[in-house]
Parts: sequence; C-alpha cells; structure tokens
Amino acid sequence: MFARKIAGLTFAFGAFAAASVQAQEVNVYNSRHYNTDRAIYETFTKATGIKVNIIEGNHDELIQRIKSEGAGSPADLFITVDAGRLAAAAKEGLLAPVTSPALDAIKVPANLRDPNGAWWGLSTRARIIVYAKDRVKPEQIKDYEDLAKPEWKGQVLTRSGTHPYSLALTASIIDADGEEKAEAWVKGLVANLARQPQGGDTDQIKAVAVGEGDLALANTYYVGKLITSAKQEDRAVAEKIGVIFPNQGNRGTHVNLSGAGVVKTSPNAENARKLLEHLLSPEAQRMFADGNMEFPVNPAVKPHPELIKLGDFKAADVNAASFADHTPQALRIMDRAGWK
Amino acid sequence: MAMATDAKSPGSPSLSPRRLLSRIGPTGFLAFLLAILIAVPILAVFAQSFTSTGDLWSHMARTVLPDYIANTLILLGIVGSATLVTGTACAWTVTMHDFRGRTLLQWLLLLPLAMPAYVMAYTYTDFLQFAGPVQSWLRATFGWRRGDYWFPEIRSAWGAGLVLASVLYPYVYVLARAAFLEQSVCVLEAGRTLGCSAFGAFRRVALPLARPALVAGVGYALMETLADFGAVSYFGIDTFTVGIYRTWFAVHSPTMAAQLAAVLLLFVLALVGLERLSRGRMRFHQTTSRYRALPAPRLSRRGTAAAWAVCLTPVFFGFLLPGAVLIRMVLRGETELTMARFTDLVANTVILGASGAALVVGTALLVIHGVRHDRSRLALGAVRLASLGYATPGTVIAVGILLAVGLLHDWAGWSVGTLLGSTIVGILYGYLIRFFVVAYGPLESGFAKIGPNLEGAARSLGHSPFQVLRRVHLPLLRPSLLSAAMLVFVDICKELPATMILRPFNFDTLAIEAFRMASTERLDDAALPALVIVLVGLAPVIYLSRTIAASRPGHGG
Amino acid sequence: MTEFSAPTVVLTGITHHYGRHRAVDDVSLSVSPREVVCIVGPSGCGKSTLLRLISGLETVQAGTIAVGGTTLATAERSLPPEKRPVGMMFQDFALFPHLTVAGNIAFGQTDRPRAERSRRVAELLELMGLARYADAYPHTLSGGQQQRVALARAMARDPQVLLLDEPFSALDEQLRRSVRGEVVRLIRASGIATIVVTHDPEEAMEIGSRVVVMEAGRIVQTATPLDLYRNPANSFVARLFGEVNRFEATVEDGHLTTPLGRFATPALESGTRVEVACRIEDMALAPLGERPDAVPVRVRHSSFLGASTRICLDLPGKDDGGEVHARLPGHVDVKPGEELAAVVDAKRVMLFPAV
Repeated sequence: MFARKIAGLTFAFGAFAAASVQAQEVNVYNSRHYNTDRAIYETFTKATGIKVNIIEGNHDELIQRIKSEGAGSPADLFITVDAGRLAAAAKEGLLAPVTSPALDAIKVPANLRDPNGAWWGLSTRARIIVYAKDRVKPEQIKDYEDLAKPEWKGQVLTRSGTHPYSLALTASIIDADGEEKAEAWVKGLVANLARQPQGGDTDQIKAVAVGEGDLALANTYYVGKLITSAKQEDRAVAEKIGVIFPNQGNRGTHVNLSGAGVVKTSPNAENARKLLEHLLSPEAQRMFADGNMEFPVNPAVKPHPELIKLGDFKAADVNAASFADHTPQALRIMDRAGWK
Repeated sequence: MAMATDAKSPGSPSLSPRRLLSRIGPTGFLAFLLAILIAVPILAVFAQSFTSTGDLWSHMARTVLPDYIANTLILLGIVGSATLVTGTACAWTVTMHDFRGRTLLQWLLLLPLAMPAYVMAYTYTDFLQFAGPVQSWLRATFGWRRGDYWFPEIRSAWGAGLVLASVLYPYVYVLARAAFLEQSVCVLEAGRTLGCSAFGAFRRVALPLARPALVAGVGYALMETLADFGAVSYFGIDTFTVGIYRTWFAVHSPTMAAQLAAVLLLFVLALVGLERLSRGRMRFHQTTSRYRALPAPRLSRRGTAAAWAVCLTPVFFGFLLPGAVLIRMVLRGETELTMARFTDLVANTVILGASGAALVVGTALLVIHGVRHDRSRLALGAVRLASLGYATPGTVIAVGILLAVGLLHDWAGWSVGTLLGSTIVGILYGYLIRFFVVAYGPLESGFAKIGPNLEGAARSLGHSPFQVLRRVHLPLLRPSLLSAAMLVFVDICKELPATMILRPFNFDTLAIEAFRMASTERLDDAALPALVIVLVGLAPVIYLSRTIAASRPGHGG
Repeated sequence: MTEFSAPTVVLTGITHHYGRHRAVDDVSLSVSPREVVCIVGPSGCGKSTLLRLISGLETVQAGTIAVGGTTLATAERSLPPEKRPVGMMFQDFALFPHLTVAGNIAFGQTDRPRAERSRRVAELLELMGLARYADAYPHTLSGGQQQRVALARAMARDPQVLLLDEPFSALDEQLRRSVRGEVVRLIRASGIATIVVTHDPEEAMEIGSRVVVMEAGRIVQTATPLDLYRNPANSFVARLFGEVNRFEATVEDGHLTTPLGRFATPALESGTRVEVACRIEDMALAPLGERPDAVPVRVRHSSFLGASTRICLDLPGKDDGGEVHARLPGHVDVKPGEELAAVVDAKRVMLFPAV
C-alpha cells in the first residue's frame, strides 16, 4: 500500500496533471489550521461533488509558493487569518476580483471585503481584555489605551509582539491615534507587563486565572473555547475571568479578520467562486460560528450563544489595506519599545 | 635532458582549470553535480540577499539584532557545553565500565533522539510555566501566591538551552561512544603504565583521541540549534532564526530575511570549517590495527548507582518526563482524529521518512564515492556548500527551493506547480538539502575505514568505479548506510517547516497534525500525534544502538 | 637473452607530479614476456607510483604506457584500470573482507561464464594449495595464505602483466623467506611478465632476473643482480647492495692513494677527484707483516653474526685515522686492540666521480 502511494505521489504526476483538467476540484492554499475549515470543505464536496485539495502553511510562505509556481500554479483559493495579507496580495496583483449575484446577496459588510471583490472576509474574532474577576472591577478599564496606564504596573499579560494579532492591534492603534501616541502606548504597555511576553492566548487567560497578572489581551475565540470546553479545569478557568470589549465609547473593539481571495492564475476559477459562495453561505457561516467560536460575516448568521452572552459590542471598522500599510511601522515601534 | 623536463615542471598540472575539469572524471563530476543541486536553493537565498532593504538594517541593528545575536550565542554556549558534558560522560560510563543494566542504558540513552525539539518545548513550557501543573500544585499545597516563591523560569535561554540539550546530546553520545569503542585499549593501557589513574587515562588519552568525534557531535547539536525555530519560539527566545522568520512573516521582507539567513549561513560556514578542520586531523589519530576487547571494570554497588544516576538523568529529562507529560495530555485530550485519518498520518510520515532516507543516503553515497574516488577539490567544495543545509532553518530551505523554482519559471518558462502540488518531489528535495550532512557524516567515516587499496584492487580486477561501489563499498558500508538511513528517517519524521510548505495537496503528516493542534492552542490534542512521532522514531533509534554496539573493530568481522 | 623478443610492457618517458613534487622523472622501461623485473629503491623513490600508473590507478601526465603492443595510456588518453590487461597485488593484499577466498578469486571474472569461472577458481586454489580454504573468510587465514589468495586473485583474469607492490613487507621475517621462494616459483611457472616493487635489495636480487634501481624518481641502473653488485653505476647503487668502505681521493700520475693502499688508475687524468669504494666482504685480513702490500690496522671490536663476522678496524694515522669494516666468512677470533694487516684486491675496488 505504501509502495503504491509513493509511486502515485512521485511518478504518476503526469497522469495526475492530465486527469486534473476534467476533474471537478478546487485547490485551496490555507493559512488557517482549524479542523472546522476541513469540515466545511467536506460539506461543500457533499453539496457540489467538487473535491477540495488543501495545502496549509504560513500565509507568506503560501504567497511565495504561488509566486514561484507562476502561471502554472494550481492555487485557486487563498485563505488567511490575516486580512492584511490578503490586501497585500491583492495589491501585488496575485488575486482576481470576483463577484456574483450569490455573493452580493450575502451582504457582507463593506469593511469586511475588498470593494472590487479581490478578497472577501469569512469570519472575525475580537481582541478583548480578559481580567481577573476577584481582583479587578470591570469599570476600572475601558480602552486598549488604558493598558498603558501606570496603575496596572506588573499586571498585564500578553503574547509575543511578533504575533500577527499583536502586530495588527498596534497597527490599529497607529491608525486611530497616530504613530507618536502608539509608541507611547506600547512603551507604557511594556512597562506594565507582568512577565516577558510568552505563550499563546490561552496561556494568557490561564495566567490571569491563576494570578500571574490581572489583565490580559486575548481573542474571543480562545475565551469561547475555554467556556465550552469539555474539561472541568478549562471551565474553571473561564469562571474566574471576565471580559471587556474595549473602546466601546469610541472607535469600537479591534477585530481580526479571516478572508479568502481567488488567485489570478486559478485553473479552476469557477469552482473557486463556488467554494467562496459556500464559505459565506449560512450553512458554512454557522460552522465558523459554532464549531470555531468566530463571529460570522454573514449578517444572517448569529454568533455562538456563549459569545453572545459575553455581551453585545461595537466592532471597529476594519481597514485591512490601511492595517497592512501600518504593520511595518507597528513592528518598528514595538522593536523600539521592546515588546518582544 | 634534465633541462627539458625542468622546463615543464612549473606548469604543475593541478593549476590549469581545463586539466582540473578533465581530471575530475565521471564519478567526481556526478558528485559535483549532485552537491551543486543540493546547494542551489542555498545559493538562491544568497542571491536574493543582494538587494537593498533601505534602512531596515540600521533599524534592526539599533533595536533587535543585538538581542538576536546575544541570545543565539548564549543558546549555542549552553547547548554546546551541556551536550558535550552529558554526551561524553554517558558514553564513557557505558563504554568503559561494566555494571548491571549497562546494555539497557546504552540504548535508553539514544531515545531522546526520537523527541522532536518543538514537542519538548511545548510539553516543558506547559508543564513548568506559572499556570502549569507543577507551579499550580506548589501554590495549592503551600498556599503561596505570585511573588512568594522562586521558581526557575522555563521560558528563558537557560530553559531553552537545557531542554534542547536534553534531546540533542545523543549526537555527542553516539559519536563519542563510537570513538571510545574504536580506541585501541593498548593506548589506554600505555597511559596507565605511564602513571595515569583510570580517570587520568580518560582525561589525558581517551578524551584527546576522541576530540574530533566530540567536536563533530557538538557541531551537529549546534547546527540543529541554529536551524531551530519551533522550539525556541515556544520558549520566547529571540534567536537569529526567530529573527529570520519574523522579518519575513511580520515585516514581510523576504529580502531582509534572506540577508539575515545569509549572515547565519556565513556563521555556519565558519562552524563547518572548524568542524572540518578537526575532522581533517582525525586521520592522525588512527590507532594501531591491533584491538583487544575493552577491559570494562566491574563497578561496585555504589559505582553502579552512580553510573545509573549519570546516565538516567538525561534520559529522564529528554525522554521519560516529556513522554509522561505527553501521555497525561493524551489522556486529557478529546482528539477528533478518526482512525482513517490517523492511519493516513502515520502512513504519510513513514512514506516520507523511508523514501527521504533512501534518497538522502543514496545521494550522499554517490557524492562521497565521487569525492573520494576522484579526489576532486571542486566536488569537495560543492559538498561543503551542500553541508550548510543542516544548519539552515527548514523554512529558509523551502523558500530557497521556491525561489529556485521561480527562477526556473521565469527563465525557462517551466512551471512546477503541478509537480509540487501532486508529488512529494518538492519535499524530498527539501529533505535532501536539510539532511544531506546527516547521511554524509556516518558514510564518510564508514568510507574512511575501507582501505584505499580495496578500490584499487577491484579496479584492476576489471570493475568500473560504479561497479566497485556496488560490489565492494556497498556491502562493506552496510552498517554505516543503515545508521545513516535511520538517522535521516528519524529526522524526517520530526521535520516540520519544510514539510509544511513543500508538500502536495491533502498530505498531512504526524508532525503537521501536531503543529496544527498546537498552533490553534489545543496542546492536549497535539500530544497524540507528537507521541506517535516518538513511537515511529523509536524502532530506528533502537536499531541504531545495536549497530553501534556491533561496530567495534574486530567484532562481527 | 630475452632482449630480442617483443617486450610485453613498454614505458616511455613517464613523468609524474604530485602537486609540485616530481614523483617519477622521465622513466623508460621495458619488460619482456616471462621476465620478472624487480624495481628497488628507498621509500619515496617513485617505484609504487610507477606501478599505479601502469595499472591505471594514477592518470599518466607525460609519457606513454603500452602493454602487449597496445598503448594503454598517454597524457591525452588513458584506459581506466578495469580495461587494462594488468593484475595487481597490493602491499596490504586488499582482500575483500566481505567475500570468501573463492569469492575474492572469482571477483575479477564477472565476464566469464559461471562454469569457467568456478573452474578457474578451483584451478588457482589448487595451484596455491588453498583448496581447503575456498569458503573461509580472509581474516581467518594466516599472512602467507592471505598472500597466496591475493596472488591468485590477481592472476585469475590471466593478465599480461602482474604488478606486485611490496608483496612481502606485510609478512614477518621468517615467513617472508619461505613465502618468497614459493611465490617466485608460482610466478615463474605462470609465465606472466611481472614487475615487483620492493625496498629490500636482497629481495630484489632474489626475485628479479633483472633489477631496476630507482632513486628520487629516476632509474639509476638496470642490470642483472650480479652486474649491480659488481659494477654499480654509482655510489648509491653500490651502497644499496652491500656495506662499503668509502674514501675520497685525487688522481696523481695515474695513481690513487687511499688509506687502504695505492691503486693504479691509468685512464684518469691527474687532479681528478674520485670516490673510492670497496665492499667490506672484499677486505682480507692477515697477520701483521705477512703481506707487503697490506695496510696495518687495529681491531676496535668485532661482532659474530653466524654466517660471518663483522670487524671494525682503526686505520693507522695521527690520532684518529678513521675506521673501516671487514666482513669475513664464518667465525673469526680477533680481540680488540689486536694488530692486523688489511688487503684489498685492486680488481674489486670501485671508482665513482666524487660528489
């Protein structure tokens, strides 16, 4: 069986290439690693008979791969967790705008998609502040900007500044407050850190629960995962923490946007469009919401009940292109201020 | 007459490039071509680095670069000294002494080889961090709160260095043990008659004799450390390689990343040069051809306990403890893995491991045979360049391949999209670059043990160089070939970043599954595939241990 | 003699460099059919390189090599070793440790049918007296047996030339003598033209019907053993084949005056500086005063060596007139301090240009 598989993989590519001309399939380059995504593709294949082939990897690696493969690239649909990268890819001319009556009918909010349709948002997560219920009163903190206030010295927990989530947040602060204030904010935040930035979002939440610090930055996705976890100890962590949707009094809470775009050289552009339509359909959006604790972009689909329980909130406008432009600046600011 | 010949002599034949090429012969030329093929992606990275990146350098030099360099050097220092001490001490203990459980320890000591460094990183950080089970238990038991007690910070250069060392020391252990086994006991006895104590003979005779092997072993460990991203980023240590990733994935400057990679490779070139230098001297360390079984003194009960303590410590931290933590995680996890998918993951991992090992070892064999046969400096130079792959982060290799492939597309109009998308050719190429030296090393020392006259004899008996390879070298090299293949197999099973980006569609391996789970912060669910990687790697590692034991000259003639 | 039949091996103007070092310098040599030629010289004189060039293990840089009338190698074109009708035996025998004795001997005969191959192997095993060891592995054999396996393996392909590189140096002294005679007999019986390389002059004289002396990459002299001994081309060759007493002297009126006496040299011009040498076994000793042409000497010490006695003698002169040696057959009873007369046969005195 192994031998057959090797033979198939290494030597039979010619036959494969010939066959792929008629075969109903769509090739996805995905930088998301969720099992939910794969489950959604399965529903797509069931509904349309189109096979979904997947390669997962870092979005920059995937972009490099598409570029290197050139005109013969099999890539049809490019999906990332960071809309900024989609905007950058669109700017480089790697993506082909798509529209269709079906896509228009979904009414994805204008700031969650490219005006020309070069990329479409799929789901969002909000970057929220997690606090320790027993030590912090929710009124004490309102905005991201408050994390830099001296009163929180030694109490703030965050993951690495290099992570796209941290970069995107700083970029959004630059977008809102300007570079100078953003740099002061990062400096204040770094001065307030309870420890060197480390671990993932879940690690930050757990650290708040066990008292390593009082406040942490985390994504709604991870909070939702803990709340709905089958494990008693995870739910116990969730019990101990509260969440704040920052900046409700002004621009709204920062959200991270996952999105997809059809590759310009796509050999199966038609199928790619169908998959995109499917990803935005209520059925798939339901799975993003329930299976993966994300906020759907389809207004017809409600988030997971546990996320709704966290409270209604105003999301900041996502300006993916401007975030992408601000990212290099954000990184320099964080380098200077020492957000490692 | 004498004058006439004298006039010819200044044009010493090795100086003219045409003569050089004409002298290289088909085997040497093939070796050169293969080595160049391996070096191409690395060269592509270098080529990419000759583009201006504006003021990014000065920004980095002012801010993060000093940290990267300092962290890298500290990490190299810790890993280097810890692997050297641990590997040598354990090798000496189990090779030169006889005690109960010695054979068991001999292969237990190899087990950490099967542990991927990034798995170690996430088990250890999760286990020992503030919110982890150990510290939580301490706080619950003693009623401490944050700041009431001191606990070593696992996410530090020390933590990362020691954890890396606990899975990398087997490289030193393996080579040190082989070196000790090869040393003629006569030399050690000569040391004793000249007034050395047993330990003195070790320190003054055995250790200097084993030096090239120890340096080579530490070299492997250091190159792995330099190339590592997964583990150190988990520890939050910003090394040079982390810097490369960051410049690419966060700054989105592939050029700057290539420049950093080029700097890293130049540094490695210096390391490799040192390593080569020490290997070059190895020939002078050839001991007599007379061997006697090593007289391993039987240890007392107390000595046995000490020997166990010495050898079990690295095994505990490099295998038993993380293994137990992984099992605990598996039991807590709620994996969504179906049996069909699980089988697929294992099959893919084994397919890649087996075909990759065959390819890498086969290529290394052809290259070393060519280099040795034609004594071509050109081929040797290409080999040195090709050896850089082991110290190159997997992602950089992958990008190098993609860049090279992109050039192929731009210049020749060949698109390899289908090739990459539907075959494992791309990944195998990546492995060839990454692990070439892993196979080359054991084969080189295997070849060194075959007298040069054997080839001459076979040639004069009517065999072409390739026939000699097949009929003389191959059978004699069998143990070296197998150990090289095993090492490469285990390394491929653990490999992540190159596999990630070069694989065909719908092709997941255990390492990728573990990464998918870990990257979505489902550590408990990452534990199962991680544990299976370890299990898949165990069999070859145990086999490896047996071949080393049998490698003693005079044994198994 | 054999000079008139067409030679089997012809080397013309072979010169070979390793880097800047000239290992072989303009060597020309031919070997006749059935002839056993021995190349002798100190280590590093280029003799082994010459064998490697003939076998094709080294590529010819200048000159030509022909075997059996076919040119094997020139600087431009060179047959690979496997295409040459040349059998080679290595100093360390280079037996394949993973093959049995029979496997080693059969190794070179891949292009022969299986039946013929095993017939030839059996024949050679019989010839070498190794029939019992066909299935043994080389490392279980004694040195002498290993040597015969190596020889059989080299002969198995019926080469036109056999090359033996220091064939006996891996054996210990006692074994060497018995094996040497045996191997020479086998080689001569096979009738294959053979070149043997050795650093041992005694061995060369025993094996070679013709001996080639090499020094620093050049051939110094090619002659029969007797000729080499009696008429060496230079002082180096003279010393190679036995111990000599040497003096420097200047020709005066057709005569040379040495500490061992006056010799007539009518052919040489007055004022020519020469080296005078005589073999120590050509010295005769007599009681003092018995022979008028004798030189008085005093015994310093003597060593009894079994077949001969080697005596160290002080020459007369001021404080230290120098010393000479003599080798006399059997046991000679002399005491240190004893005064004797030394005589040298003028016919045995050798003259070389002074260095």
